[in-house]
Amino acid sequence: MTTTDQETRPTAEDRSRFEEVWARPRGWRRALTSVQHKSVGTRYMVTAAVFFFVGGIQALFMRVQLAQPEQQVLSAQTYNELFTMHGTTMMFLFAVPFLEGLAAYLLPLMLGARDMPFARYNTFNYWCYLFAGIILYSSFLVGMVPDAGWFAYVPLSGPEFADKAMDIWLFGLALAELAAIGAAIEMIVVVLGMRAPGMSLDRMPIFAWTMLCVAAMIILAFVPLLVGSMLLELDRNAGTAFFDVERGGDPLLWQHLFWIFGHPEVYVMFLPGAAIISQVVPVHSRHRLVGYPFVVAAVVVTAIMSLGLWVHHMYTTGLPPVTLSFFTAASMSISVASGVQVVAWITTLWSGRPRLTVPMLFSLGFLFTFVAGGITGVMVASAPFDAQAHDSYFVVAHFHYVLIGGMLFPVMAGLFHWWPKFTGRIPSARLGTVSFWLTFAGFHLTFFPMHLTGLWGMPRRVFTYDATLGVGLLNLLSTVGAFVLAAGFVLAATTLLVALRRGERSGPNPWGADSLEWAADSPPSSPNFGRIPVVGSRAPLWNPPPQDPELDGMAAAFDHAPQNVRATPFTTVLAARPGTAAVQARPSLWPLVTAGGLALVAVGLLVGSVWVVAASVLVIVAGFVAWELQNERELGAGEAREPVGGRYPVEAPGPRSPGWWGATAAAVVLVVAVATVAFSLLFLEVNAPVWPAGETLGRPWLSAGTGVALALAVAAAWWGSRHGPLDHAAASEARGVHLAATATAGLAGTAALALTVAQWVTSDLDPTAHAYDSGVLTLLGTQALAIVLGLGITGCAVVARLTHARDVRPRIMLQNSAMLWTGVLVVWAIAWAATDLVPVAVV
Amino acid sequence: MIDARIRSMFPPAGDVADRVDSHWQLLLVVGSVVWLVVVTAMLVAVLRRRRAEREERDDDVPGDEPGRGHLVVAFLGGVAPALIILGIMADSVLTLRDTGAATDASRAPVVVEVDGRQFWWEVRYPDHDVETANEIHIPTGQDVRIELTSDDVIHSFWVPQLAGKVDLVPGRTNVLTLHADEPGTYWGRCAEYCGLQHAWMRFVVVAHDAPEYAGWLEAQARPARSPDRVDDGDDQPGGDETGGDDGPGAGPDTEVAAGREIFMSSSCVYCHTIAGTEARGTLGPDLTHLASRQAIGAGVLPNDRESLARWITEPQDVKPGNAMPGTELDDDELDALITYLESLE
Amino acid sequence: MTAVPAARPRTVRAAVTAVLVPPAAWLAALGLSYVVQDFACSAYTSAGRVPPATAIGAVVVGLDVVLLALTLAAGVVAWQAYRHASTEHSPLPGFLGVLGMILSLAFAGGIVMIAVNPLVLEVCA
Repeated sequence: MTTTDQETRPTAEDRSRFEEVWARPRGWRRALTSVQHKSVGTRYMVTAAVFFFVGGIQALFMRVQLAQPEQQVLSAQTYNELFTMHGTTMMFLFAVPFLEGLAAYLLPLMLGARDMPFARYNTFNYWCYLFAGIILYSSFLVGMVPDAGWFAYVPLSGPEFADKAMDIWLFGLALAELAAIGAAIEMIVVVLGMRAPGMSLDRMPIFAWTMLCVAAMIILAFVPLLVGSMLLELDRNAGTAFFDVERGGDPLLWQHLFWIFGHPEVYVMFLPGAAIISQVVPVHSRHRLVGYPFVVAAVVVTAIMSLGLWVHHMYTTGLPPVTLSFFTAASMSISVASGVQVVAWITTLWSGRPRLTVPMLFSLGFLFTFVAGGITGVMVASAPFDAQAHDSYFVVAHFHYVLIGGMLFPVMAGLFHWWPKFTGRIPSARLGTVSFWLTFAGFHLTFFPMHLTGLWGMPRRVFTYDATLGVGLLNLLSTVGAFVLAAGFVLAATTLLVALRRGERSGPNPWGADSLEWAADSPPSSPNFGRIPVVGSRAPLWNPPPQDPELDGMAAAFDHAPQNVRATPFTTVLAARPGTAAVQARPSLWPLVTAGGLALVAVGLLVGSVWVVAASVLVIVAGFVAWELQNERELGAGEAREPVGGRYPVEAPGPRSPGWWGATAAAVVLVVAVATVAFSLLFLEVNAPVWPAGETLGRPWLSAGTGVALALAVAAAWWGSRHGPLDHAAASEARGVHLAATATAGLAGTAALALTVAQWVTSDLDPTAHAYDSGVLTLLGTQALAIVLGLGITGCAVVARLTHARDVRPRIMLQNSAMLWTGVLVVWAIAWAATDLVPVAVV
Repeated sequence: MIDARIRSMFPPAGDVADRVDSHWQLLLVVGSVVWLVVVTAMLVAVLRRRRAEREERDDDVPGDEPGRGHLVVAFLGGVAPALIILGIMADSVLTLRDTGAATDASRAPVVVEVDGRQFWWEVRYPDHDVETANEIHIPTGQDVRIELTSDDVIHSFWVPQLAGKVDLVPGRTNVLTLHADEPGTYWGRCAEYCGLQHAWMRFVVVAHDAPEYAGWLEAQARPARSPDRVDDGDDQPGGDETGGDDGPGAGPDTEVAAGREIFMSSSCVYCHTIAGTEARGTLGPDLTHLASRQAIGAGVLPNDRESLARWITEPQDVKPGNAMPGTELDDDELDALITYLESLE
Repeated sequence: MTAVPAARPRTVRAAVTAVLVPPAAWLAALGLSYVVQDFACSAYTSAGRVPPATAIGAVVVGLDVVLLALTLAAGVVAWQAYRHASTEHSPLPGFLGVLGMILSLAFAGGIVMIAVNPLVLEVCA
């Protein structure tokens, strides 16, 4: 990037102070307190890779058992445990977390930022994920391994048929989902707000577009699963009736909730894979991606349509044909979007000069395999054919083509592509090529025969089959292939690890690539970029930088600066014009403490100890308070935090700083959660012969009072957020207003909480009697939880007011709490409609 | 174990399966062609440029996006697949219209109720007061309405050669129409993971021509043969077949009577029904005509003396996790019990 | 490349709207079609009454037609934004316009594929 003449270059002293503020913690502190996106991303990827190999070993055991008809290598119980844990591990502990880690590592680099927007929250999510994995795998230690399948259909996973193993599974899952939802919020904010100056939406790398869409999908799709697992946990341990037919529940509700998550989940894995290909293919063919707007549109279409495919997992549950057909239409439409991407890649190959590097080989392997998986996907999308193929090995073949072909091969391409960036070393091309051919041949040898095994009548999830089925040879081929595939992955991992020490040094940009991460050092320094790059085209490293004084001004202001706080440019959503400075977190222990507390809550609930639960809640609360105090300190508590370069304010109200986006996203998550519960109740209602069994909740005055109190909290927070000067240097004028506003919002929120509790206490409902009653309890509980979150953020506003001399920070925090309170108000409205209005309205 | 040669959806043996099969052939042909075209294009794209690579210079600037590229992506990537998908969707909807809707009870002359249990199938003919397990007998050439229910977990009913699968969901009655053109034995099984022994939850559908079917129904509707009525029978083929290698002494009749006594005085009666006797249990399969069935344990063992002995003494070894406890019997008692069970034709 | 000329805010706003409307319309089309058809049929059936299938089908198709019109209108807006942007030489609204047009066409096709179902199949079978 060029420098204009008139600006002052940072001095050596500036540089060393800048490096000091970005210095990584050393020794044990590094392990526990580092929050930097690169270390968090690396941890995600390493942990996920470990789980990948564990899940792979489970698969090998299963393949050995199935190598011959009627073998006795594994018992039925062990086999069922293994396929449950294999699916759970690969989906929840490998694929999604790995991609979150890759995104956490790459997005800031690719977009020209210095860290993720809420680096500590990012770290918190990683710890949640790690603890989720530990909880799930502790099931092997205590000898209660989940065995109800990764889809955990009730009633098999319900109180009557599953033991505590299922609780372990549900808690592990809930923590992993919580982590994924958090990661999604991070991705949305980093992509929308933290792009390098000039990187308008039309110049954004496809990977960033994709992760934006994926993050939106995660929020819309993972929240329902989190809600679903909560409902199942209540059924299992609190005697509620959501899935019990006798009491107004319905086992199909679980399938809806699970697949509303489950199908988008597939695209949450595939779309990043496709995005990796969209980054790798152009670089290794030395040609810009052809049809960029079409690829972006295809990603958007895939993301949206993936939300409307879930019923195609339920084609055989006896739904009416027209229902099935709506979802057949959606399932087939989505394949056109994949067609667009495939043709864009092939046209890029055609127009460019492809080099058969290892990343390119894996990309070609991806195309070869994924297209086949997509085509079998169209086949199983057809309801009448699916009635035959469903739950047979044909489907096993299909989704391994899509997931290994569509996600794992791209990940391998990406690893070999970005390894020089991660480590500064180039992995051996020869070993990489061998590992590609091993995985490619092993994959097809394993999974191609499964199409036939399925068509010839072998169902999934059987621990054995008899010789007369005539699929012995096919299964033997699959088993041999599985070992070849495993050898390929072991060799690939070895190649990468050996490169850490022996690989050729790569320099910043060994492939001659086009996107910003290749402008940083290899491996990148702690702040990624001393001087933030400016962007004037889709391929910033292939084109000359833009001559735009406004952009250059921002780059100059942030050139090895600021030096008293970690910060990165925050730019406008559409055009990425210079905006403000976003403060980035320094190392902290509190994410680990709070995530550990959350995991301890799960442990306490599993062992049934109130004391453990109570203690861990205390740990969580203390952890969050310490976390918030640390936040405020970094934002210049007690002193004025000067604008960066004198022009870019450190934080500003509204969408000009990350906090507003975070609060909005949190409000959206709350609304999606309560809407899921409300829709669940509507679903149960239309399917139940009687609804409700007795009285409705019928506490209109208490409910209206809650609404009024919440509206008051919203109004108070808004009112407070509009007072006081925004200038960092101006003396505080609105201290009293802010305190009054927080006090009002806090009191109103407390009143709303009391009224919510009163609604339940004064009613005669019994959550174990009927699903309606269970639903009311859950809705009121969700509402109470939302209010507690509102009170929490109001508390943060109080802390901000008490610790800051200037008015801007309390204003921002009040605005954030107003956003969240608005979400809580919507939660109340939905809950009220579902408990009182709808039961009266429906037939 | 089960005498059914074909266990896949090919060749289809009924009109529902037929219709799905022709839909599948369309999917297969179109899918294969599309895949071949895409992979060929990919390989040509890579290989064709490999020759040009020699001319590549180091200072090459990566090519800019050609306007033509947009058109290629839009038409080959968007419009062409959309047209193909429209065609497939049309055939899918039409197939669904022909096969998806369940036949009304009024239009289907034969109604069979199938209740999925962990891990076997209870089969009832409500119009004929017949109850059996793991075997569904149907007449050829007629629509048979199968009403599927479950009281425990979700199962799925799948006879690949006759139709696609339909789940058995607690709280719902799902309906499937079977239609077999030819007499024969069609293999079926549970297709939804339902717990420990999901792999061994199988059944057969036996299609008879109309007179044979009527005969079967009539035989099944009779109460069990009791040993004191064995004398009335004109012949005893069962006794000859199974009792041939029995020890000397006890005649078949007395042994059957002894076996019956053992059955009625043991815990068997708590779970099993034998029509015409005091055994009225409903937790396990109805044994009234046990000897007429091909297999025991929902397909896990063939129905012969040796297997019955194993099944009675150590069912948890044969099929761990099924609901039947093992019964301790000495050899004589076991022999007698099996002889009795084998008399239940 | 030189400094990006500022596009008219109206053009940008129109283009953003045109990008956001088609996905929302498609989701609404699928969600409403499913909820209206499945929930209405189930509600009548579980209450032991015969569902008014024709009326339900008409409501579904009617909703889908409205949403289809909305999607196509978004496409027209995107087209206009694209034309404005190309006269103004502003790449961002131009890109958003192209994106809006593609999304409008894609989701319009998707809505049509949803809407034909109640016309071909029995609504409450």
